[in-house]
Amino acid sequence: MCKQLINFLMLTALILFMCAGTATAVDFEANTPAVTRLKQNMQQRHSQLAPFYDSGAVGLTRDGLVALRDANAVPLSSRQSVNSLVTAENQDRNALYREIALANNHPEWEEDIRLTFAQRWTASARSGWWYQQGNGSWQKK
Amino acid sequence: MKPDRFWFHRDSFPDYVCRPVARCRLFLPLILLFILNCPVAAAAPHLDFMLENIRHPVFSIRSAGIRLTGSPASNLEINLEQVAIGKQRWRNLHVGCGPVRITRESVICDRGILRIGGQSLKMTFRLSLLQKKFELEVRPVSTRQSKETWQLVIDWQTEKWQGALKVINGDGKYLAGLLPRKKEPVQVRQAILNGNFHLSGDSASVTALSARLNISNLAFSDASGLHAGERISLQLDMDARQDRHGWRWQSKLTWPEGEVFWQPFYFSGGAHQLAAGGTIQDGHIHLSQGEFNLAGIGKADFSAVLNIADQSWQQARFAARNLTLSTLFGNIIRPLVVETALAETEMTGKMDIDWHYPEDNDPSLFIEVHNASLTDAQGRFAVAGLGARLPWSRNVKRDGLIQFDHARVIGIPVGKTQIPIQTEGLQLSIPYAEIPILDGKMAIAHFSAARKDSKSSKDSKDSKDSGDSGWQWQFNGLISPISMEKLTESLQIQPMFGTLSGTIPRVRYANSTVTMEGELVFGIFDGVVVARNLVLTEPLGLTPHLTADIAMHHIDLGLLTHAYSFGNIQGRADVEINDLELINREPVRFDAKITSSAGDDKRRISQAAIRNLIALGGRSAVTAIQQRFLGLFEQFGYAEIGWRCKLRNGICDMGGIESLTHDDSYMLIKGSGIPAINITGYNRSVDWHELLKRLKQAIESGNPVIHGYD
Repeated sequence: MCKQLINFLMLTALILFMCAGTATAVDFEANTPAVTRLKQNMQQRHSQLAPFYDSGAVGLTRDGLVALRDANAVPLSSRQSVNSLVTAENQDRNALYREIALANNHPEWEEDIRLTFAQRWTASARSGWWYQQGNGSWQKK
Repeated sequence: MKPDRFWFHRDSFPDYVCRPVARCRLFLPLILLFILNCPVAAAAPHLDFMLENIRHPVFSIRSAGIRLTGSPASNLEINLEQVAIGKQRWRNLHVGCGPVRITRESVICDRGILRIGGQSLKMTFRLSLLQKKFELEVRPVSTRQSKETWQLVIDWQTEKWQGALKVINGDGKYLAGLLPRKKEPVQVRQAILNGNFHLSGDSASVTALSARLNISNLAFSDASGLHAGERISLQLDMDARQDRHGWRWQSKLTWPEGEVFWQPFYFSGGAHQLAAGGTIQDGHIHLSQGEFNLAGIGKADFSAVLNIADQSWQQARFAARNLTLSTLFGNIIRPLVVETALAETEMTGKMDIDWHYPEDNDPSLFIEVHNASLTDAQGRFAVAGLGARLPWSRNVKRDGLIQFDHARVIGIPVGKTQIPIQTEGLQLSIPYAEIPILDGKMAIAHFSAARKDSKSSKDSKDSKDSGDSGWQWQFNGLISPISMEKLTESLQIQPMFGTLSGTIPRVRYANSTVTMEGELVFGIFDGVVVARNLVLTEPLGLTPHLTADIAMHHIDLGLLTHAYSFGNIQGRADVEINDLELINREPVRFDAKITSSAGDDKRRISQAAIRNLIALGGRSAVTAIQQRFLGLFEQFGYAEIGWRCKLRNGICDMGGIESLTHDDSYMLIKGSGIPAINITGYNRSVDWHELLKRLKQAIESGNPVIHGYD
């Protein structure tokens, strides 16, 4: 029992160490022209998306993107433009993760960066916004 | 109605049971007629009657149970396990009436209940045997808020029977519950129906039917809301008549109001109309007079032949003239291309479409575009005076043409152009075309484009293509002299002098990446430029990446310094920029080196150029003694010039002709002749943006100040 506990603690420490190592290794604030441009673009779009985050029409997915999770919360005439917003936002988000990985000279980190950003988006989401949990279900913050 | 078998028991059982398997020609009235004429009906206080199957060309009924109790004011109950009309199925219908007045002339029910689709409805009916007429009226149980009424009249006084159904404020939601379930169910939330249906027939079948139906306040949606409509009004007119050849039919559907979002399309109502007519014979629906009018876009004619048995199109044709491209593109095309560069494009002009799906399964399409324009909202491209003839066939090569009066691509003006094209299946080719660009032109040869799906690319034996999918194209060509001055002005970048000309080696596009194989050679500043390993990723995306290796040979520094107002340097230089990466036209990485070209050309440098070079060197780039000379002479002689920069992460790691031993400095200019001057650099690391900013300020002010990066 004691041995199992020690093994568990060692494994936990190892995982924490690996996470910490990855976190310190990646420069999430990399400031290349592409990253700057993408952030500006996303910032401009955010004011258009925010009402749909508030209404629950759009939610934050577990893979660092956004999704139209409840179109019924959007007036019919706006559903097409919300679709376009979501598509454009996801194009920028995908590009952002790719560019940060490139800026770190590690294109293979893109998926890890994406998952870290997914957690960041969820953590910084306002109360009442919807996010996707690890099992794919939606949860209101 | 002739029962095949008929068992009849009386008194020996508590209930009387009749079990015929019937072939029925008329529905409820005749069932009741049968009851009336049944010898036991009048005498028996209690009757149970079971019809196991009733089949008719129009409908069928499975397991119809009829129970009559009491006399003379009896209670009637009819239970139908399943009623089918065509492919529609209704289960567990119940009719209850008490009391029902039964005489030899009539059956009258003033207070009945009809249960259908989980709902209970008030019902009255009157069956007149003398007049051969059946009248049925159905209302909801609560009529305070609704004046909903369904009235059915069937009479068979003549050999031909006829029926009429009148619907007043009918609940469409109630009808929706009767609709068969689909894989992605779309629920009707509400609808109000008003209209009339007429049917007539003979003893064998229905021979004519017509419908005039108004649907108002229709609202429907699936669970996700991606297929939904609200406040919709529809008007349906339909007539069908049977003759000796089959059925002839005509219908018209008008959509004046409401809105529909059917992922990814959105339409609002307004005089949209669908009209169609044709025949039904020999197991086929022949649609010969189809007309589709989409308000704001235009009108299209269509025809088709549908095999009813396997529900497959045998042939179809669709033709439209003068469609309005602004609305067609905005409403139909753009929603399909939101992930491409066309997502923010506006289009104007007119378009004709002819699509033919013949019996030999070789479909063809012809699109003609007139007086069109294409404009990207982000200003990346614009095309004016656009016309096109685009034929397409799955198996046959077709010739077409694209032409435009003028265009602008990433700021570069393009002149009047005609591009002959060839199409075949999902392949497009351009044998040869010339595109005027500024004062020169670009010739494109052997252009070919094809769409590759991921499956076929996986199967590809060509290792270069493995994993590639989507549209791919390639070409080679030739650039006839284009003024670099005009080109750089169009691109809004630092001016350059010279001409761009040369051979374009094979250029290939796949997976959003343009790759140039071989070398692109052109001339600027009276020298020769060789570009190699050129790769452009996401060319029309938000963050295009360009990587290349560029070598410039024998550049005239006089032209170069003049272009940048850098003072004046006479002489020639070679430039190497390796591992260059630009994002949004901005350099983020390179290894650059400028060295004097070999040769005995005249080498002089002006005072102004020296001052600007000092900006690169920083601190006291010239000795104190040389500083005194600097103000005395306008020009100085030099033997060699050299500067290099390795740009990484925004920092330029600089060097010169050679490193000096006494400190970390490096020589930028080695003086020669009289007067001569040496210029030394001291700052090894400089912030690239800061360097550009201060150099720009220095050139503008004539007072350079460059600080090192700490």
